[in-house]
Amino acid sequence: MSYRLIDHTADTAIEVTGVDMKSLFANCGYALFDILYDTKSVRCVKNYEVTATGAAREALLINFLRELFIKFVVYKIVLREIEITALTGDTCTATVRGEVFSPARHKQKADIKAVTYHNVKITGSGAGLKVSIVFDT
Amino acid sequence: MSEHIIEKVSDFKYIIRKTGAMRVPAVIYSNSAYLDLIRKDASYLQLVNVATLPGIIGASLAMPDMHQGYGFPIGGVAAMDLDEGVISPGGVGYDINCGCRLVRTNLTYDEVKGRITDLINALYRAIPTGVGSRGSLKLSKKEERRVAEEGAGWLIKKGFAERYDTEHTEDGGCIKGADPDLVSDRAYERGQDQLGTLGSGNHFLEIGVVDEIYDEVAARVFGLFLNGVVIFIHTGSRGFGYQVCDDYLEKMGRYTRKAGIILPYRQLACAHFASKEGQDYYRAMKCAANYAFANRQLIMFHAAQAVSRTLGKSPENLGLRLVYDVCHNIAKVEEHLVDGKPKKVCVHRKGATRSFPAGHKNVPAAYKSVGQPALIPGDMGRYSYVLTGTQTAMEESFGSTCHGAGRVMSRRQAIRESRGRQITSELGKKGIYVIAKRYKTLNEEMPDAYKDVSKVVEVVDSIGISKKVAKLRPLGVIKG
Repeated sequence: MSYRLIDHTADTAIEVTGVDMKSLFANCGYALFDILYDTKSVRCVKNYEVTATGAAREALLINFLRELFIKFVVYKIVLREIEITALTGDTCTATVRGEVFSPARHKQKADIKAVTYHNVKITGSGAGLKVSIVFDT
Repeated sequence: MSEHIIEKVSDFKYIIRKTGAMRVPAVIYSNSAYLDLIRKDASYLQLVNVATLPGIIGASLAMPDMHQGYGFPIGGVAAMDLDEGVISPGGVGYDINCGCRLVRTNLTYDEVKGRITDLINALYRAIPTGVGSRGSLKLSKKEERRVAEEGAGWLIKKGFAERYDTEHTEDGGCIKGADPDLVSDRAYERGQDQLGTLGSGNHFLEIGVVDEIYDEVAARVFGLFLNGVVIFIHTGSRGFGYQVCDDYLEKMGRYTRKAGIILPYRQLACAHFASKEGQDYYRAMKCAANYAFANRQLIMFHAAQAVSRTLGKSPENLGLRLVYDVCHNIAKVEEHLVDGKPKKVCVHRKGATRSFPAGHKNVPAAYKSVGQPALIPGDMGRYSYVLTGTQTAMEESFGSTCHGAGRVMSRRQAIRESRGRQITSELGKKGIYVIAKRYKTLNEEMPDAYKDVSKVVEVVDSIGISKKVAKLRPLGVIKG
C-alpha cells in the first residue's frame, strides 16, 4: 500500500506517495477504497468511467476523490481497480472497476462524511510525489 | 504566523489583537491548560483566518472546547453583516445541524439500575447504529423533500411526533425558508435510508441519571430531578447534510474566485450572504438542518418505544418527555445588539450551542422564565451538562456557548494509547454499560481522548455565557 495514516485531531488523514502524477492520483483512490471497505472482497466485474475537473492539480485530485467517493455513498458501487486514462492540467478521466455493493459480501470499514481540501498540497517532484489528504469522519 | 500573541484579558478570556488581514480581533474563552492545547494544535490560527472574512462583526470567537476543524475551528462562532458579510459552509461544518436532544422520565436510578443492560440492548436493536447503518424508513424523493421543508413537523403527520415535541425543539424543529430544489440528487440519494439512524464517530445515544443539580428552579422547569433517569441523543443530518455541505463548498469555491475574495484557506470558501450563491447555500443548509431535526425526532420515537416495551409501561406512564433539542452546527439570521443597536446578523455556530436568555422571543413558552436549555455532551465515561442561556451570552458571544468536551487526541492516537486496555470493562467498573457496532469506535472514543467537559463548562459558567443547571452521569451508552 502506498499510503499511511497520519494524525489529525478530529479525523482520518493519510499521506500518499506516487512515482508520477497518474500513480499519485490512483494511489489516493486506492487509499480511499481501503479506508471505506474491505477491497479484497470486491470483484472487478464492471467498468465505470469517472471524470473530474479542477483549476489546480490539488483541486483536481480532491475532485477526483470526491467522484470516487460518490460512487460508493450515492451509487452504492465498491471499486478495486483504477486506470487513469487521461490526466491534463484541469481534467482527469479514469476507468475504474468493481461491482455493486452488497452488505452481505462487502464489509464497510468506515463512514466518511467527505473528502476535504484541508491543507492539501502535492509536494516533491519526478518519481517522488507526496500528498496528504484529510477525510472528515 | 507566530506573530499572533494571545493575551489574557481576564480569567477565562483571552484576545488576539487585530493584525494583518484581520478585520476584527479574535477572542478565546478558555483556561490556561486548554490554551496550551490550542497553541499546540494551531486552531487559534483558524480563528485568526475567520477574523479576515468580509463583514465579520465584533470578534472571531472561540469556545473553550475549541480544536482544529476545516476552515473554521470547531468551537468557533462568527456573526456576519447581512449586506457586506459572507456565509460559509465551513462555518457550519459537514454535519449540518449536528445537535443534541434530551428526554426526561419519571424513573429514578433505583428503579432502573438492574435493567440498564436490558434497556441498552433494546435501544441498540431499535436504533440503527454504526458504519453504513440504514433506517427502517426508506423515503421516496418526494417524502425526503417534505422532510427537508418541514423538518420534525413532517413526523407529526406520520405519527412519530407530537406538537409538544416540535414546541420543545430549537426553531420548532423546522427552520423556515428551506428550498428542497436547491438540494442535489446526490444528497437525496445519501439521505434516503438514513432517517432515524445514529451513525458513527462521536454520535451516541445514552441513558443517564441526574447526578447533581445547580439550579433547582430551572431543573424543575425542565422536568429534571436528582437521580432522575434521562435519555441523551447526539447526532445530525447524516449523509444528506454532508453532501449539501460538500456540494456548496465546491460552488462557493468558484464564487470566491469570481468575487475576488482573498481567502487564507480553501475550506473557508464563502459567498456574500446577500448574493444568489449565499442565499442558495443558506436555503439548502436549512433543508439539511430540518432533516437533522427529523432524524433526532425519529430516533427519540423509537427509543421511547424500546424503553416502553422493555419496562412494560407506556411512554406516558414513564413520563418520557422531550426537554429540548439544540443545534450546534448551524448558521442563522438572528437579531443581536451591535454597537448598542438591534441588528440582524448571520451567526455561524460551528461546534457551539445557542444560549438564549430568559424572556427571549425564541425560547419556548414553558422555559421563558429560566432561559433556553443548552445541552452539552461529555465523553462516554464522565458527564454531560444541562445549562441555561443568559443575557451575558447575548452581550459576549452572540447568544452562544460551548458544545461539548472537544477532542484532545486524534482517533489514531486514541487507538495507540488504548492498546492493551479494555475500554468496555473499564467503563463497566464505573457502572457504565457500553455497546458499539465496532470495538474500534470505543477505543477512538475513549474518555481520555476528550477534554474533561466539566472544565469546559466551568469556563462558560464563570464567564456567564451560560449557567449550570444539572450534571448528568451516563449509565449506558450506544455508539456507532
